[in-house]
Amino acid sequence: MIVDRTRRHHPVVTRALRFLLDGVARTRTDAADKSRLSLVVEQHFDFIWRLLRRLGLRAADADDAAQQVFMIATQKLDAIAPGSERSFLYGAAVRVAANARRAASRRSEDPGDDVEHIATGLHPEQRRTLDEAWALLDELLERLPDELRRVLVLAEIEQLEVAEIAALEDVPVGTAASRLRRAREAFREHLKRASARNPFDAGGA
Amino acid sequence: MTEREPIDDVADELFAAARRERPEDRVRARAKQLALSARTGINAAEARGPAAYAPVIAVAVAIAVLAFIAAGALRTREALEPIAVTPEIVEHEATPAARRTADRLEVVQDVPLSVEKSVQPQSKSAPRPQPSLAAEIALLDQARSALSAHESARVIALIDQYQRVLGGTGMRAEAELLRIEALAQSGQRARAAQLAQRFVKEHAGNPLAERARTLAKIEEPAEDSR
Repeated sequence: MIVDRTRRHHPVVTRALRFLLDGVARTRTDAADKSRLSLVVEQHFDFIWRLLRRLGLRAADADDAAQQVFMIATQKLDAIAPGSERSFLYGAAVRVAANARRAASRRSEDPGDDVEHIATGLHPEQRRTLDEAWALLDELLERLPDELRRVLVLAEIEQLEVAEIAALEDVPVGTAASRLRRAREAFREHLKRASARNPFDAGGA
Repeated sequence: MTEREPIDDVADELFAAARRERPEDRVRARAKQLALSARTGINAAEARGPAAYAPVIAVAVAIAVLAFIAAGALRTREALEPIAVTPEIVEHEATPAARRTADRLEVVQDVPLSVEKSVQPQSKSAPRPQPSLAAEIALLDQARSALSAHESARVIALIDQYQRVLGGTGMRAEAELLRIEALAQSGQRARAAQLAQRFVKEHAGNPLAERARTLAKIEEPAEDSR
């Protein structure tokens, strides 16, 4: 005995069937969302966390901020087109970092003096060297305007192409290239000044 | 990436050091866990109200439907069990072809039928099994097999069962003709001829009437006429 698909069923039956099919579809959607979300976290978490660090957040604050960025993505998942997850996360991270820095400045904290990074498998001396390098880098980046700082981080640390940077910043490629050129010149100048002021620290990093 | 001219050696070292920095694994794992939990909450909230329980209800209904189908199969099997037939009659299962046909067909309405005066009245307290075209086909298929095997008593018992238990609807004429053929085969030619004549009268337009006409002309057994 089979259900005749051509027959018109009683409205209650039709409604019940629709209800159950919706339930099944919802379960499948939930599973698909979670699968996508897992992949997004695995692929982009480190990128976002490093970005937040170089945008001036302490390691502990970067932990919280990165979590906040991914919670925003979780809430907006339906609106994020497949393939544009990194752009969305980048935009959210820039905004979250700006807010976190404002909050930190209100608390009169020095964002550069945090050294609670992970350094698994490193010799204490290597860790000290890395800590110093990160501190100097943050000090130098702090002197750049935000838009130059971001393109320099994306180009030199994340090693993205200019076209990719332009897409993330949502600016023309020419603008991104121009900003990167100015960022590199400004960074070189600041590094020179830092070396002149304290040649041992700047040169030893 | 396209190779860029380094800013200077120190800058390159600083950038390389920055690339070595990464979050702790537990931080990444916690962010992932929180995101997945939050997404489940969002999807459940979007479902709103009782619809959130739809997946659970869907499973429960699926189990109920399976139980209903199993009960239906059991009932059909019971309907095909032999009822007060002679001891030598042994009930057989329907042929696989008939079963396959049965699986594709819908239930048909129960239409009372009284062809044979010898049919036992149905007990009012015992509910009559729901007849189905599938069951009719299965039973008549058995009767036809029995006729081919010259088991005329079994044929008659099966046709009795067909009329008593299933009621017989669309295949009533075929059932009657099988009875007539079984009677003729068993040597009760006078009775077969009598029923065949009645069949021809009642089913004049039926294609089976031609076969009945032939049977209606059956004379008494040769040894009787001699």
